[in-house]
This record gives sequence, structure tokens and C-alpha cells, in this order.
Amino acid sequence: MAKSSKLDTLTSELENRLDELFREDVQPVEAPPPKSSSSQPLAELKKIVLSIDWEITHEAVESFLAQIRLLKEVYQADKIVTTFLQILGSLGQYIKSNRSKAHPATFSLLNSVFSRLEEITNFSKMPELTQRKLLQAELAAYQQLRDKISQRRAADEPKPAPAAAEPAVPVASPDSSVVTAEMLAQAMADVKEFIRSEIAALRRQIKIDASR
Amino acid sequence: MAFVNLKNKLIQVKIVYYGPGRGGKTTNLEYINRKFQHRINSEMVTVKTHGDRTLFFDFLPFDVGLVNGYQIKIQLYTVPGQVKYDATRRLVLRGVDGIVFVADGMVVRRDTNIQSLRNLQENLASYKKNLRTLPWVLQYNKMDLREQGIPMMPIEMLEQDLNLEFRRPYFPASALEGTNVVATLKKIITLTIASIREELF
Amino acid sequence: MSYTLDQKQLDKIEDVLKSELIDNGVRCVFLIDMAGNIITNLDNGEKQHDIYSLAALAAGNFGAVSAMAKIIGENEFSLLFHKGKKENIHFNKISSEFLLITIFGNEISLGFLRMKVAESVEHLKGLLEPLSREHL
Repeated sequence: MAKSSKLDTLTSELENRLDELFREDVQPVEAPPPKSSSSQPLAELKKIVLSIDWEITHEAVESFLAQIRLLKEVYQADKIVTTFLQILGSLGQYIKSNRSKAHPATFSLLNSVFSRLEEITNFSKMPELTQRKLLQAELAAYQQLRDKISQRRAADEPKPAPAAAEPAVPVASPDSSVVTAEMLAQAMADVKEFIRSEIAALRRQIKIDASR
Repeated sequence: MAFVNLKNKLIQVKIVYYGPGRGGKTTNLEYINRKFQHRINSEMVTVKTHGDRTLFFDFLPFDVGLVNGYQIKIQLYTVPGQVKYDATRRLVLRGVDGIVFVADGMVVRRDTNIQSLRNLQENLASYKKNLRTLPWVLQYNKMDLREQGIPMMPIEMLEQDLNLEFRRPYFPASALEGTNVVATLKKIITLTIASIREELF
Repeated sequence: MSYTLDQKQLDKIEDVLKSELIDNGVRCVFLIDMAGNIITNLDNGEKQHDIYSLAALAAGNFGAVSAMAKIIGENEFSLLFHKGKKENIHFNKISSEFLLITIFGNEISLGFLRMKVAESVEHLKGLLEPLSREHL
């Protein structure tokens, strides 16, 4: 009798221990906030941007540009996002054409433009005014980079023949600089036009609000 | 391998203190560092274990000054002596120009001295170097322990064990007290610079 | 046994390092051999490090990592890079004998730095090749 009661005690104690050990967590685990559908398309671009941060390969840059083209279609209705994508596309094209001759600030700008874009697409409730402010800040930085690039180009002596002295870098189109300037100019023109129309719209809105 | 910079007229030479664990290699460098603080501009670099044993190496750059129009910079290194750090010892030996073999003078360490010297020869061979042609000296360390009654190897026996075929300069020493530390260093520097002299001057 | 580099060779090397790296924002660059000797070093004038200790440790570090690579069956690692909060350090082998070490801040992306270093290495290989042959 005594033995069995000891056994009972042991068993119950053991059972208690096991219960404690394997007790299910009472607090319900919070379900992760459902991702807004717009963040899914950016996931691929994010991967590419991160990989470019570590290593700039021809494949990564091509993937980047392809992704931008794709996203432009997805977001064609959203002017702000499209402009962000245009800036990214322009930077990508500049990197592709210039590779190691690219201005070092290009890459930090790429990262910051992408970060802002990510913020905007992740936070669907962001007021349009805020979105425009973010865009303007990145545009200003983009303009600054463009100025730096122009200054650098002006400072460099014009090289007669690029081939001989250059190192063995894979992509070396002799016309690359011309292509880049044109493309940047085009991108800027697009972007400026958009800004003009948006600022005009904003002014109209402010006037309307003020008159109320 | 010594590097001569003809532009700055600078010669860099690598000297490694080799030997069994706890034999006094690091103590040699510590003594040199203390004694010549006024001349040494940088801190001694040590990569040690928690137990204060050399883990990777100790490093002490030492400016000899101007000699024949050249600034001579000696890079002193020690290796970790413990048996398990053989790969590290081999790394540190890379490009060595001169060696100080610090033997532990205690009787109980007789075998470890012999093994360590053998190990040195093996590691040098991996760089196609050998003790017959490389500048090196021996230091028979811890001689201060004799006074404390600890059984120490007679110099003749150490010579027989380690230096019979090489007949290199040797120095009975006490790294802790500083006896013959500087003499050892001077000798190895002289021998090392002499060995590259022909290519310089 | 020793090897030498004369003024002309060193000037050429320094030109490459300055134009490709320092002028692109790299803080400090040094070219060393695997024994830890410094061939040359340049910096942007902002901060002076103890380059002799750095060189000894860099050679040791690179050597240790290379030995680890062999143990795990790799011939060598393609990236040796240490990231700090403000300063980062990158190692690149030039040949079996020489290493290029760059110290840079966060305003330069690693990808860009690797691109510039790869270019510099191509230039430097040619300049250092005769020495590498001598070593063998």
C-alpha cells in the first residue's frame, strides 16, 4: 500500500513536471499584420538592391532594370511611385553605363530612394502630401548627384582614346557618357514635368482650402 | 622576406622569436618594449588567451634608425608556443628573415626544446627555408631559476641538444630580469641585416 | 634575401591607389606583403592609424582565414570584409604575395568599393608581377 502510494506520488509529481514542461502557451500569438498587396512586388527589387550593396554584377544591374520596368507597369496609375521608379531606373542605367566610373554617391542615393519608396508602398495610409515631400527630398538629392557628376566630368580632362589606358573592365562602350547624359536629361525632364503639374495641383488645393 | 623601399630608403626586416610554450618569447619582447619605450613609437600588439598565453602572435616594431642612408625597421614577432597552435606558428613564420630560438633552460623542458626546434625546421621547410642558411641565434632562457635551486640544463647539454650541427651564437639569458635580452636582439639584427647586405649596398 | 621597389615603381603604385581609391572616398589604403611588410600606404589625411600594427595583423588575419578556407575545402574566399559601426575594412589578394587593405566609411557602399578594388588590383598586378616571380 505504502509502496503504491509512493509510486502514485512519484507518478503524479512526474506528471505535474511534464505538464509544466509541455504546457501550451496561453497567450495567443499575434498574427503578423497582413502585408498590403503592394509590398509583395517590391520584395524582389529589395533583394536586388541589397545584393547590389554587396556586389555590383552585370546580372544584378540587369535584374534591377528589368524589375523597375515591371514595377512601372504595376504602378502606372500611381504617379508618385512611378516617379520614384523613374529615378531608380535612371540611377540603374547610369550604373550600367558607367560601372566603376560611377560617382560613389550613386549607391547611397539608390538605397535612400528605394527606402522611401518602400515606406510609401508599405504604409498605404500615408497622406499624399507626405508622399510628395519624400519624393521632393529624393529629387533634390538626385539633382545634387547630377550636379556632382557634371562637375566631375568638367574637371576631368577629355580623354582622347579610352581603350589603351583603361583597365580590363567588362563593359566599356565608348559612347557610354553620351548615352548617360541624354538619359539622365530625359529622366529629369519627365520628373520635372511631373513636379510642375503636381505643385500646380497642390497650389490649387491650398487656395481652395484657404478660401474655405 | 625583407622589403627594401628605395623611394623612402626604408628596410623592413622580420625577426621571429620561436620556441616551446612558456619558454620566455613574449617576456623577451615585453622586456624590450619596456626598456626601449622612448624609441618605440607604437604599442606592442599582443593577441593572447585569457590565460595570458600567446594565441596568435606578439608584435613589436622596432626602429634601428639610419644605417648607411637607410632607415631600418625591425618587426619583432613571437609565435604561440603551445603544440596545438602549429598552423598559427607556420603563418607567423611567413617571410621571416631572422629567428631567435628561445629554449627553456629547465631540465624538465629538455624534450620540449628539442621538439620545438624540430617543429621549427618542419615549418621552415614548408617555405623552402632551413636553419642552415637562415640567420638565427639561440637563447637559453630562465637562467635566473638556477639561484632558486631549480634544476637547470648545463649550457653544454643545451648546445649538444640544439646547436651541435649549426654552431650558431647562443646566449644564456633571463628574459624576466633582462640578462642578455638586448645582446640576443643585437646579434640577430646584425646577422639578419648582414645576410641581406649584399643586395643592398 | 630581399626584394626591392624603386621610386618609379612605387610612384606608379601610389598613383593607382590615389586615383582609384582615395579620390573616391576611401579613407586609408595600404599595400602589404604576406609577411606583414608595408609596401606603401596612403590616406585621405583625416586619421592616422598605427599602420605597422595593422599590417602585421592584416597579414596574420588573411593568412589565418586562408588556412581556414583550405581546411573547409575552399581554395580561397572571395570576400574578406569586416563591418564596423563607422569604419569598415576590406582585404583583397593581389597575387600570392601581396594584399590590398582598404579602410572606408559608410558613405561608400561595399559593392562600389569591391568594384574599385578589383580595378586597382588589375593595375597593380602588372606592376607587382616581376616581384611575384622573384619570390618563387
